[in-house]
Amino acid sequence: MTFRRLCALLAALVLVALAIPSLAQGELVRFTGQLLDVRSGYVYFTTGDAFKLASALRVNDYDTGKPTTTQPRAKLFARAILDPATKQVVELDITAKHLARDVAYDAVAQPLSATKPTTEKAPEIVGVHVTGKEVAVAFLVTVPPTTPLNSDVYISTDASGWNPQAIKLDRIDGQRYRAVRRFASGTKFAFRVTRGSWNSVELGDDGLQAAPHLYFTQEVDAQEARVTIFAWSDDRGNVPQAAQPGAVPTPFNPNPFPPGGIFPGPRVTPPGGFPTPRPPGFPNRPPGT
Amino acid sequence: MRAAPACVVFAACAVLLPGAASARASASLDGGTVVFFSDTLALIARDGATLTLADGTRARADAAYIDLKTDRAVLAGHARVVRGSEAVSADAIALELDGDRVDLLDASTGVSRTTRRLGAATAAEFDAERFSFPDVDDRSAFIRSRHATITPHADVRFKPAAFPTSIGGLPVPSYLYTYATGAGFGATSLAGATFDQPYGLFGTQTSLTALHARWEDGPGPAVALQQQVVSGDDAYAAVSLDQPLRGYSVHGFNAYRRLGTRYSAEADASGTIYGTVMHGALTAAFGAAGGRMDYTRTTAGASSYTASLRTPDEPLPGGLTWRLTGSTGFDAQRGGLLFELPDAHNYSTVWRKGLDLFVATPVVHVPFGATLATTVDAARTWYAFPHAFDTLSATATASRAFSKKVTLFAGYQSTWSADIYPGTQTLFYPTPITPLLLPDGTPYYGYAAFTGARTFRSQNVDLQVTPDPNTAYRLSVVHTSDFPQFDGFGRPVWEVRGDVRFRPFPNIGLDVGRAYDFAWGGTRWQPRWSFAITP
Repeated sequence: MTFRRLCALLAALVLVALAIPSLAQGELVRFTGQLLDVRSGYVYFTTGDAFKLASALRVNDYDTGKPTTTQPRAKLFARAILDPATKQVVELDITAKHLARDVAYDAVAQPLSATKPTTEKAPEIVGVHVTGKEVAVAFLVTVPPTTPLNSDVYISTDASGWNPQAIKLDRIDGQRYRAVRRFASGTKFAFRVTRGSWNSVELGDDGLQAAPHLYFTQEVDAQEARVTIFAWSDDRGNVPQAAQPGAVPTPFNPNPFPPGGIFPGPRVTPPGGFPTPRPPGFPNRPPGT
Repeated sequence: MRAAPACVVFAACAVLLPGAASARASASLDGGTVVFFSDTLALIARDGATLTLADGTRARADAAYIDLKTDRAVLAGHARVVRGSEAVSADAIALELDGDRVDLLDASTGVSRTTRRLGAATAAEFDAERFSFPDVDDRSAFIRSRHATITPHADVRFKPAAFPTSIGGLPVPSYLYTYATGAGFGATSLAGATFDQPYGLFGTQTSLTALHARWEDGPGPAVALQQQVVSGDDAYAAVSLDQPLRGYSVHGFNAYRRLGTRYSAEADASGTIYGTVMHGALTAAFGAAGGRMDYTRTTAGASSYTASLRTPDEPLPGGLTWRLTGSTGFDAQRGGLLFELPDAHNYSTVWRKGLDLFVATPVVHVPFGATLATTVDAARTWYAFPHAFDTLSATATASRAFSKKVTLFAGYQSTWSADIYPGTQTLFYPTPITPLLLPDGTPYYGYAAFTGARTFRSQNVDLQVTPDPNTAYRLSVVHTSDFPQFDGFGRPVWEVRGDVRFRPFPNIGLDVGRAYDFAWGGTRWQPRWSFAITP
């Protein structure tokens, strides 16, 4: 009989303990600090700590312990009472007075915190840990509308000795080019975009040569590098022509002067040079003379 | 005789710039094998590695790794560093090529730290990053060697050098790999070529002397020598001597200098047996607007000057943008510019001014899932002599992506220009007395209708297939319709071109093209090959 009473008493204690989590798992936990914000169901402190708010949150005045109509906001100080079972804030005691840091926090903060404190040094100081794994990297280049119709676009890098045709991009549409390459994470290089030579290299938005873009392959599965080109160094538009049309290089007459060209012509040169644009003296004289 | 000044300039650049002619190495790495990875700039020596630093420090280990980006060296396995009479040993040792810090990692005692003087080591915190040694497959290395001489932040010379992953990469006794970060190293004073493979002779952080093996359109094989001097991203100069095996040599010069945040100056020159062309330019930026001055002069007595100002790209409704460019300048020719005139000598200099309006649309979506981008450019130039030159051009580019791998492009380009001489048009564009004869001997009577107005029109359709990032197929059909269009002299009426780009080895890519010109040059069709090796 005594045993049955003991079992009943034990069962009752278990039920009570389950009903009151704080009794089952320890005392309520406090955290005191200055409020940064309360939004989206979380309370944020200026220390960087954030806790989820319980649905039945009680907001009390810190001094009186009674409910208050003052809304929690930045700059106020608050003591958050957390339920260790749910890891949620069940009570928030707010005041405008400065509150000292709650020392009880340190002992229990670690198991309650979703993010764990780290002793690692900041990556900005010691660098990013990379394993060298292969990362698919997409370069997406937007070219200016002045880009010639059938231009090929390339990426030139310092790792390739600034070869102006190091990485060829495929055209996507009228103004965008794309290339996908695989680099080991940690790969770092500087690059510029060209149209195949350094006579047609990208310019900055001020029309001057800008510093090269810096690229770093992060420790991720895939990465994208977007670049917008504002102008090309050989982009002169339809600027006024010289008095002699033959003195201006055009795609149809790349070696305009002197007759015969500075560099040997790529194809058979007609008598007197290419007829378009008109070389000096042509067509005043019969062809071939 | 014209070669003499170029040779003097070239020699001066090589001699007066101490770094250009001889590079001071600060470290050398030896091993049973020394492999180099160009993507991560990693050097790894195995089978007994020896690292020698400029201050006389020598280090030995089973293997060694040098990160050329950070100048960090890690010696792993029975590592020992000796300097003078001092020596330290550990399972792994980390140090910098230029720094003073030396970290020792011993499996039994932990991490300790000393300096390059190798004094007593003190206990230190373990830093895994400092001792990290990449686990890489040596078979995918770009260069395999036994000895590497390092000039930090500039280059590495390998003796000998083999290229296990490069097609056609024949072993050479010595190879200089440049990884200097100054973008000016990309500049060249050499003319374009079908193929150009530089071979570094000497290099420093600010200079590079290189021999170029080239294949040029026209003369064919050529050898060129180029000297580059670079100051960061702000300035560079390049001098070159290009000597084809057949044909005449070409001297080139190219220089650029950034002048503060708003200005930049550039100069270039090119000389052949026909003469020398010199050009200088000054570019200015005023916010998003800009200006530019160009001056060109030839030894044949011709010169021209243009000063231009342009607005920023200003928005219009619908995403359109416009830009206006205004300019003024002159053209000059010794003995007279307008040689058609009986008093041509009175017109040795003709001033001009011009306006250019450029309008562009954004890429817009059009029916059938395609996109369209168009541009229009209109320009007029007024000359001091009764003369004007008008140009109106328009382009349209449409694209339709059928999948991520298949894209179809269609383009249209039209340029119309008119050379107008009020009252003297027939003087400058007279009717030919005899008809123009085409290469196949047939007369081109239509040329008689040419009185100064030209039209260039081209339509192209391109099919692009990219099954994977390293492979691309491209088929292009181009049709041109010009006036006057010279069968054999102007652009071919039809061109069909196929290109294949693929990567047979990790470090080398090939771009092979085959093109056919139809109804051009008096022949039914004319084939052409193009071939390019990409890194």
